[in-house]
Amino acid sequence: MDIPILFYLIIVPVASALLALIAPQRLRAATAVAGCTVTLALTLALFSVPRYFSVPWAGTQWAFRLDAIAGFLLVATAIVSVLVVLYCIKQRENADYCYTFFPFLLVSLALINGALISDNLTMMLFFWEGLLIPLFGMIATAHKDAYKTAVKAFIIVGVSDLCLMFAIALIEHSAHTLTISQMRIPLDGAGGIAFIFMLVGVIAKVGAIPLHSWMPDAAEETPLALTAFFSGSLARLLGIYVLIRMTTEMFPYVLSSWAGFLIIAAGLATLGYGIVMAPAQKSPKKLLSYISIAVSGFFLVSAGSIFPENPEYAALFLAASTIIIALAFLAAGMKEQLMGTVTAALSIRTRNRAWLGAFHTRMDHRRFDPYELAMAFSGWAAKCAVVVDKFINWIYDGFIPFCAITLSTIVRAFHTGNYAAYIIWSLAGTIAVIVFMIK
Amino acid sequence: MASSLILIPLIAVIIFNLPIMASHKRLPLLFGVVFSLWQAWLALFSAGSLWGNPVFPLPLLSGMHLQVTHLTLVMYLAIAIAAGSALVICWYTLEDGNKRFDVINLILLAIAGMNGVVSVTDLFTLYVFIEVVSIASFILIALHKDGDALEGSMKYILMSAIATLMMLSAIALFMMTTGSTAFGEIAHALRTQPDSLLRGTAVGLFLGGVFIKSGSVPFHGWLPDAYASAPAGVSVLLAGIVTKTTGIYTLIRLVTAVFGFSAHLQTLLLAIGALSIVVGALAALTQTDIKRMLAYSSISQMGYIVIGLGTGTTIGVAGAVFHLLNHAIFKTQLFANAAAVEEQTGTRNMDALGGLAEKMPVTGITSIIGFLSMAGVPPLSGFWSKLIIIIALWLSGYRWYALIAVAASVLTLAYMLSLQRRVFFGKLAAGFENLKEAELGIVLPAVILAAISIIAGIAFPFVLHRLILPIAAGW
Amino acid sequence: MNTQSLLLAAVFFPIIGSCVVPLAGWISPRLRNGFSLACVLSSLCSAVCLLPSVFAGDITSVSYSLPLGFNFILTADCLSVFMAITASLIGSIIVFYSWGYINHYKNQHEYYFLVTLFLGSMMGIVFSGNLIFLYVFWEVTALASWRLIGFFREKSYVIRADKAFMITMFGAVMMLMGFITLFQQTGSFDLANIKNALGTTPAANLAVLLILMGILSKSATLPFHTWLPDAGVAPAPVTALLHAAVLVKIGVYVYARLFIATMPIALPWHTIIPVVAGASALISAGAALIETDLKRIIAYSTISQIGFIFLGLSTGSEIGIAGGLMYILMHGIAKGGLFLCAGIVEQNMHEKNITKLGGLFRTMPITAIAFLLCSLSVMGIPPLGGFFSKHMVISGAIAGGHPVIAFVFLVGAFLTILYLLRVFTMVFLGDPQTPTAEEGSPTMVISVSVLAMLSVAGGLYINYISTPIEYIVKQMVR
Repeated sequence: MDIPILFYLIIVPVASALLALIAPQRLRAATAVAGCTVTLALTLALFSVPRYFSVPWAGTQWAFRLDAIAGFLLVATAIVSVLVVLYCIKQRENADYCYTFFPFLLVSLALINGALISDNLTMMLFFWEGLLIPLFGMIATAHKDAYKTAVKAFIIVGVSDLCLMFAIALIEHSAHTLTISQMRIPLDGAGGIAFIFMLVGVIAKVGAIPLHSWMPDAAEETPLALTAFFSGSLARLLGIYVLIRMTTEMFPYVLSSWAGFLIIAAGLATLGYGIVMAPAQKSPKKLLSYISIAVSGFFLVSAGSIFPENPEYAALFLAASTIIIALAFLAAGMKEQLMGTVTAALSIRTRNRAWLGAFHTRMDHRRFDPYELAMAFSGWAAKCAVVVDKFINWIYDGFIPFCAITLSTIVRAFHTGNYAAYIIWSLAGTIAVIVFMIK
Repeated sequence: MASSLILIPLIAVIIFNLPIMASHKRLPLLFGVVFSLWQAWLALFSAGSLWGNPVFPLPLLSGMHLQVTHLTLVMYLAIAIAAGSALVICWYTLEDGNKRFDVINLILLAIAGMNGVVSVTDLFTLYVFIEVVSIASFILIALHKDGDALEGSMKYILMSAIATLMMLSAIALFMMTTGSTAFGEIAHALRTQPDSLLRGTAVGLFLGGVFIKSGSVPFHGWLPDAYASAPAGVSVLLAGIVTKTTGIYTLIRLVTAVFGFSAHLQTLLLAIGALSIVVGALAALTQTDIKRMLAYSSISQMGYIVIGLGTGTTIGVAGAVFHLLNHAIFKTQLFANAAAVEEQTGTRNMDALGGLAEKMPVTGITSIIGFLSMAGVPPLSGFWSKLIIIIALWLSGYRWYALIAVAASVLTLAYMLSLQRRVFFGKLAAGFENLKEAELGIVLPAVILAAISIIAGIAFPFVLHRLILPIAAGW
Repeated sequence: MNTQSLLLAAVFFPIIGSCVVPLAGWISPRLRNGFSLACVLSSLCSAVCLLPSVFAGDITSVSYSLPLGFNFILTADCLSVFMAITASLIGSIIVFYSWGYINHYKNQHEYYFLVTLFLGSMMGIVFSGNLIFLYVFWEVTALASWRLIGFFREKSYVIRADKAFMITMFGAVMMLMGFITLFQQTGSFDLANIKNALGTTPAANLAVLLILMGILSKSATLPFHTWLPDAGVAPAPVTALLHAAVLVKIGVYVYARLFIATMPIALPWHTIIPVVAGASALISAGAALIETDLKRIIAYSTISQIGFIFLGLSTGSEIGIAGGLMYILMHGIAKGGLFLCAGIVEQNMHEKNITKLGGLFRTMPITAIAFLLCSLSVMGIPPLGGFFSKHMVISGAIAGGHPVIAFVFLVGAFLTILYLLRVFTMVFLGDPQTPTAEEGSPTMVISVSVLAMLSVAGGLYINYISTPIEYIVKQMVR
C-alpha cells in the first residue's frame, strides 16, 4: 500500500512507542531517542514543500495538510521531544519513571503531529482528545499518589475536549463542512457559540484562566521532564496553533469584535495571574509552571491581536519560543540536580536569588546561540525570540527586559491602532509586578 | 358414541362395586386411566363422522337427546385430562385402601356425569347431570371427615343448594312459558318473543345459579374453602374440571346457543368477568396457604373466560373456550404440584417452606411451567388463549376491560412469583434437609401436563385449527 | 448453504440446543460448556455468513402463515444481521467467561440452559418479522432473565428478580396493547404489511405510546429503570448479558426496527423521546456518582448510555441514527468488559463496596487495564470505539435541531467521565482497604482482555464499522 509520506509523521512515533514498550529496559532509551530523531529528520525533510492529502474514513474526509505554519511547529515539536529524551537519559534520578515515560512521550508526539497536520476538525479532535490518555498515564505513573492529580487533569482537559466536540458538531451543522481550510463561519448565532466552546477547549490545553489548575499540580507531582515536555511547552503549542487556525481560517476575524476581546481578556488575565503567583511559590517546579501559565497568557494576547495577520511568522515565533522555554525548563532541572535539593529553610527571596544566581552562571554555558542564529533569518522573529528569551530571564536578572517587551507590545498595539484599554492594562500589570519585585 | 362416554363409566362403577370384584382393588384405577386416555384421543383425533347424527336419542332414557358440538369435543378433552390426572393422584395420596377404592369410583361417576353435562340438549337433563357431579363432589370433599373438610363441604352444599333452587325455578318457569326445556325450543321462543318477563326472569335465575356454580365474584365465597380443605387429589378434580364443567361450560353453552347475546347480558358478563379477575388476583396476593392461593387464582382465571364470553364476538368465545382448556391443563398441574408438596412436607403453609426446588426438582420445574402458562407468558399455551381474549376485547372496543385484563395479568405474575419465591425458588428452609421428590404417581401427571402446556404452546396452530377455530366458525 | 437455512439455524440452533444442554450436562460438564458455546457461536457464524447477501441488498425471509394473523416470519436484513452479530459476539465471549466463573456455584445445568435460551431468543427478536412472535421471544428473554437474576437464590435476590420480571412484563403487555392497536390501524401483525399499509401516515399515537412503554421498560430508561441497578445481584456474566450487551439492547433495537425502519411517527415524538432520554441520562449519571456498590454504578452507567443511544436514534437525522447503532456495538463491548471485570473483582475480593476496595492494580494488572480501556471507550475518548459514536450522536442531535438537548447530553458525558474515573481510582489505585487478592482465572481474564482489545480495535478500525452502518441506515430510512 502506498502510504503517503505525511502518515509517517504519525506512524514513526507510534511504532517506536510500541517498540519501546516491548524492549528491555536498557534498549528503551535508545528506542526513544531513535524514534524522536527520525521524526525530527522527517519533519525537517518535509518542511519545505506544502503538501495536502485526503482520504475518506469513517464517514468524513480525513484531510492532512502540511503548510508553513504546521511545518514550523512540527519541527519544534520534534526538537522538544529530542531534548526531553536526552534530558531523561542524562539525569539519573527518575530513571524508573522515564522508562514508562518514553512510550507515553512517543505516543503523545504522534498525536500532536497528527493534530498539527489535520485539516479536518473531527480528525483534529481525534488526535487532540487522544492526548488525554498519555497525559493521564504520564502523570499517574509518577508516584503512588499521583493518580489524584492525573484524575484532576483528565477531568479538566476532558471536559474542555467535550466542549470542543460540541463546538465541532455545531460547526458541522452550520458550515456543512469539516475541512478547516475551507471554512468561513460568521461569528453570530451558532457560529459564535461554536467559537466560545472551541475557545474553552483551547484554554484548558494552554493552561489559561480559569482552566489552568491542573498545571501547577501536575508540575509538582511529576518529574520535570513532563512539565518540560507537555504542560510547559507542547500543550501550549498545540492550543495556540488551533487558535491561529481559528482566527485565520475558520472564523473571519475582526480584532475589535467580541471574539477578539474575549481572547485578549483571557490572555491578560492569565498573564497577570501567572506573574503574580509565580514569585510566591516555594517550590521551583511550581514556579516554573506558573511561569508557563504566564507565557501562555502572553501568547493568548498575541494570538488575539497580532497573530491573525501574519500566521507564518506567528508560527515561527511560537515554535521558537516553545523550544526556548522547554530548554529553559530542562536547564532549570539540570541545575537542580547539580545544586542538590533546595531546602525550605531558606527564605523565599534569598533562596530564589541564590538559585537564580547559580543558574545565571550556568546560563552562559548553555547552547542558546545556535537557536538565535537559526532564527535570525527573520529579523522580526529573531527579535521576538530574543524578547521571549529575555522575558524568561527577567525573573533572574531584573525587570528591565520585561519593560522592553511591554513596550514593544505597546508599540505594536499602537501600530494596529485599537488598543487604548489594553495598553493601560499592560501598563498596570507591569507596574504591579515592579512593585512586587521591589518588595 | 356420545352416549357410550356416559354409559361406560356408569356401568363400570356398578361392576366394580359388585362383591365378586372385591379383590381387584386396582382395577378401577387402571380402567379410569385407560378410559381417560381413550376419551382424550377421541376428542383430538376422531373424524367428525364418528359422532354420527348430531342428535340421537339415548336408549333407555327416552326424551334425552345428545348433541356433540365442537365445544363438546374440547370439553371431552379437558375432562379426560383433568379427571385422569385426578384419578392417579388420588390413588397415590391416599393410604387407606378402602377409601382409595371409593374415591376412584366416585371420580368415575363424576366423569360420567360431566360427559353428560357437556352433551345434553335440554335444561332438565342438564340439571340432572349437574346434580350427579355435585353429589359426587360433596362426598369427595368430606372424605377425611375432619373439621375443615366438613366445613368446606357444608359451604359447598349450601351454595349448591341455592344454585340448585334457582336452576329448578328457572326450569319450571321455562316449562310454564315454553312447554319444553329443550335448548332449541327455548332459544326459538326467546328470539321470537324477546319481551317476555317470565322468560327473562327464568334466564336470570338460571344464570344466577350457573354463576354460583362457577365461582364468579360475588358468588365465590364457597370456593376457596372447598378447594383448600379437600384432600389433595380431590382438589385437583374440583379445580381442574368440576367447576368448569358445571359452571363455566354451562354458561358458555347457554349464552351462545340458547339465551343469545343481549346488550344487558353482555354488560353483565363483562362486569362479572372483570370483577372476578381483579378480586381473585388481589385476594391471591395475600394468601399463605398454597391451595387457597390457587383457589383464588382459579376465580381470577374464570373471570378471563367470562370476560371473553362477554365480548359477544366469535373470536372472543373461541378465546374463552381455549382458555378453559388451558386452565384445565395448568390448574390441574399446579394442584398436582401442591399435592406433591403437601405429601412430602406435610404442610401447605408457604411461610414455613422455602427452596424446595433443590430437593424436589421435578415438582419445581413443572410448577414453573404451570405458573408461566397461567400468567400468560409465551411460548406456553396459556399465553395464546389470553392473547386471543385480549385481542377480542380490544377490537370490540372494550379497551378499558382489556387494560384491566392485562394489568391483572401482571398481578397474576406477581402472586405466582411470590409462590415460587416462598416455596421453590430460594434457599432451602430449615428442617427439610432430608426431603425427597414425591413418588412417581404424583409427579408423572404433573410432568405430562407440563409437557402438554409446552407442546400446545409451541404447536398452537394445531390446537387452534383442530379444536378452537371450528367453534368460532360453527357458532 | 442457502440463506434461508442460515437464518433458521441462527435462531433455532441455540433455542433447541438449549434444551439439549442439560442432557449434555448429565454426560459431562465440559461437554455441556463446550456445547453451550457452540450453540452461540453457531448463531454468530450464521449471521456472519448472511453478511454478503444482505449487504448486496437481498433480504432473506422465512415465513409460515398461521391462524389469526400470528404468522411466523423471520427476516434478515442489514439491521438484523448487525444486531445479531453484536449480540452473539458479545454473548460468545460471555459464555466463555462463564466457564471460569460459574463452576464455583450450584445449578450449573440450569445456568447454561438459560443463557443459551436467552441468546437464542435474542436472535429470534432481531430476526422476527411479525409483531406477535417478536413479543413471544421478548417474553422468553424476560423469563430467562428472571431465573438468571435470582440465580443465587438468596431471598433478597429473588425479590429483585421478581421485581425486574414484573416491571418488564408490565411494559411488555402495554407494548402488546400497542401492537393490537397497530393491528387495528393496519390490519396485520406483519412488519412488511404494516410498512406498506401505513406508507407515510404516521402510526397512531396511542400505539406509539404503548409500544414506547414496553421499549423503555426493557431498556431501563426513566421511568422504568429501577429494576436494572437492583438486578446487579445476578452472576457477573449475567449482568454483563443483561445490563450491557443484550437485554437492554432489545428495546433500542425494537425502536430502530419499528419507528425508523417500518413506520413513521408523528413529529412531536422526535422531541419528546430525546427529552426523556436526556432526563434518564442525567439522573442516572448523578446516581452513579453517589453509589458505592460497584455493579450498581456500572448499571446506572448503562441507563445513562442507553439514553445516549436513544438520543442518536430518535432525533431523526441519519448521522445520529448511525451514531446510535455504532454505539450499540461499542457500548455492548465496553460495558460487557466492565461488568466482567467487576465480576473478577467481586469473586476474588468478596467485596462489592468500592470504598472498601483499593490498590488492586498491583495484584490484578490485566483486569485493571482492561477496565481502564473499557471505561475510556464508554467515556468516549479516542482512539477507542466510543469516541466516534458519541461524536456522531451529538452531531446528529444538533443536525436534528436539538442543540439544547445535545448540550444536556454533553453534561451527561462530563458526569460519565467523573463517575467512571471515580470507580477506577477507588478500586484499582490508591491504598488497599482490604487485603488484595490475585488475578482471576485464565478464561475470565482472557475474556475481559478480548473485550478491551475489541474496544480499541473498534476505534482504530472504525472505517470497517462505519461504512456498513451507513449502509444499514440508508436501507432503514428508505
